Amino acid sequence: MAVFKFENNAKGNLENAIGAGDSSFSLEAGDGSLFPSISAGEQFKCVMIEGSKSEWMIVTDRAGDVFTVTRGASPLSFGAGASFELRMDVDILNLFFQKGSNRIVTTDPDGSLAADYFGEEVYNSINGRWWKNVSGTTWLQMGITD
Amino acid sequence: MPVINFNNRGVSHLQLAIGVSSTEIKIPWADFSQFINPQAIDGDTMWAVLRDPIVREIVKIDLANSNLNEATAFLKVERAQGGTTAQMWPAGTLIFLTTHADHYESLFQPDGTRQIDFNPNGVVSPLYRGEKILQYAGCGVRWWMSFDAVNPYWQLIAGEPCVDEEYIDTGFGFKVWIVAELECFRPYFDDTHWEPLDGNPTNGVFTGTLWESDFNLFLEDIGIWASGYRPSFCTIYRPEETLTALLRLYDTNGGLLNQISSKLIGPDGFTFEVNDGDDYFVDLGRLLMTSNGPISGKTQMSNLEFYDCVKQTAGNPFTTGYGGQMEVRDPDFNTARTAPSCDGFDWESRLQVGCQYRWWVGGDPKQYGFNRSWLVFDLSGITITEIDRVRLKLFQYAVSGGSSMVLQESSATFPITCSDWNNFSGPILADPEPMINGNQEIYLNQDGIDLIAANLGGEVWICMREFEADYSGIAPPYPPDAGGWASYNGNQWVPPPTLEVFGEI
Repeated sequence: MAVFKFENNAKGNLENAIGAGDSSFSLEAGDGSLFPSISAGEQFKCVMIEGSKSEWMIVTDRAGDVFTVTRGASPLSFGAGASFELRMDVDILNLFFQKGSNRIVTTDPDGSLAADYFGEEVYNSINGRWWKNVSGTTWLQMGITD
Repeated sequence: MPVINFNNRGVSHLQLAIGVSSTEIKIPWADFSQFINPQAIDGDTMWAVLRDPIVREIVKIDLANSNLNEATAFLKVERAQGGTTAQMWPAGTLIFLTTHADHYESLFQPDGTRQIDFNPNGVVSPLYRGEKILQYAGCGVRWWMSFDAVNPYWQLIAGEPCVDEEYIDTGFGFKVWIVAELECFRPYFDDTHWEPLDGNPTNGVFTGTLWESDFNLFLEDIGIWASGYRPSFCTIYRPEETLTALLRLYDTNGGLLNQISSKLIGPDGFTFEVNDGDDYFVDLGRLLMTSNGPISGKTQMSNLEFYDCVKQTAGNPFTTGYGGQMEVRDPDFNTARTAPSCDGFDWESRLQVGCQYRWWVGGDPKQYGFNRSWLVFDLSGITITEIDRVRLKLFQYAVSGGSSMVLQESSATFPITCSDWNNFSGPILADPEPMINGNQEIYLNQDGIDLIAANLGGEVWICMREFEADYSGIAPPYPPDAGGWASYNGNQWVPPPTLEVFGEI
């Protein structure tokens, strides 16, 4: 997993045709600068559209107008000039932390409860203790411990 | 903290046309409530789009500075946002609220949690107030939370405190170890020191009649000052047997009157909260002095001096031909200062230190005159093995000018001769001491203490030089008598030079 980055009006056109197996391509000169700059652990999500064809891709690296992507589940081929733009989708929206969404447990989770995500916080309603995930099923109790 | 706002049904049209530089947008009052937030603070925003079938422009609505009066209401906006260009828009142009990249960048994503392998305090600047960061190594696994939006101030929210021993020099002649949470103790606090609560210094001079009841003078509540500059909690632990210091009472002739041992008693372990900018005195216990023999009635004493630790004296070793002073004179400053040997020496009763530029003999040209002196102390009688401090006592009976004096190690041996004029080396052994008439007590620095420690069981030679000109190599200015010098008691005058060594046997 990585952190998703965003930019307004990030949109360009494919410079050359690509096949279903290509994992990198270039947009037309200058279009790359409209997209976010990303570093290690960052990515952004785009969709490529040509006529009735479309494919979601995750951009894992960008160097100028050259994009490195993780292709969609059913990769397609696209011709030069295909539209490529950054978009929000349901998977990203579901990533965001929402107020009051912490899980409530009835036993201390350390050693037994698998975290939904690294750093998750859960509340033990039996003893009133908050726990914060370190990794896997490892949790630390929050606050001053006994 | 400013936030990005959003509303459903935020759709309207321009009531009046705007130019490319307009920053106020009027929309129908009926739609206004969807574009504003009456509770907005400075920095709160909404994002909106102006568009026709071909062109669009993103604007940022400044909620706090928009006009909410019905008759004159307008939206305060910043134009041409998100890479768009400001346009001239006619009345009736569609305007609607939109989400923006900044919206999503401001939302928390689980994988946005940073992980580090060290304590972030004082090091890691937070990305935002309330950021949580995982320390996965360096002192166990712990979670920290920032309590400042900019500065690297973090509070431990999960995981064990990192406890370590911290050496504390009490400044009262003895040392203690405390065990503390380093994240609290350093860098959470500065200016840590110990001090007595009863106002009576543990070191001092007592004059008069000492009654049994006066022994409360020797009871000291010991604590630690902590200047908190970030909110936190801190636990300080103290070893069970923190210290056992000795208090010895001497009369003016150096006779031992009594020996009192001490022990720090009191509860162990204190957890306390620290607030930003406050100072705290954390009471760690009471230094209880107990006598090894009965103390009753009253004892007439005068000029009683007491110490927290053993004092031993290396004094009065100065005899003719066994130390003394030398002098050099020359019209040229550097020639005199770096002369290969002295012009003459004096092994009599006095020591002189200085550099002067003056007429020494009527009719002769002015010359620079340097005086340097050597002290030697026999340390063979010192039984202290762990030295806490060393004090050199001198008596000055004549002084001229405003110079200072410094001490350096010398490798001179008996008998000292003129060829020892430049026999000094190494770091200075104490801060430069102004030469002032009367008793002078000079506490050696760590280099000085190390020198004494290295020569325990033998003897130590110390060279005294004038600081401003001789040590620093800067010629004293004209006119006559410029520079400074001082005369000190030698061994045949009372009080003689004395070296006092404090520490533990």
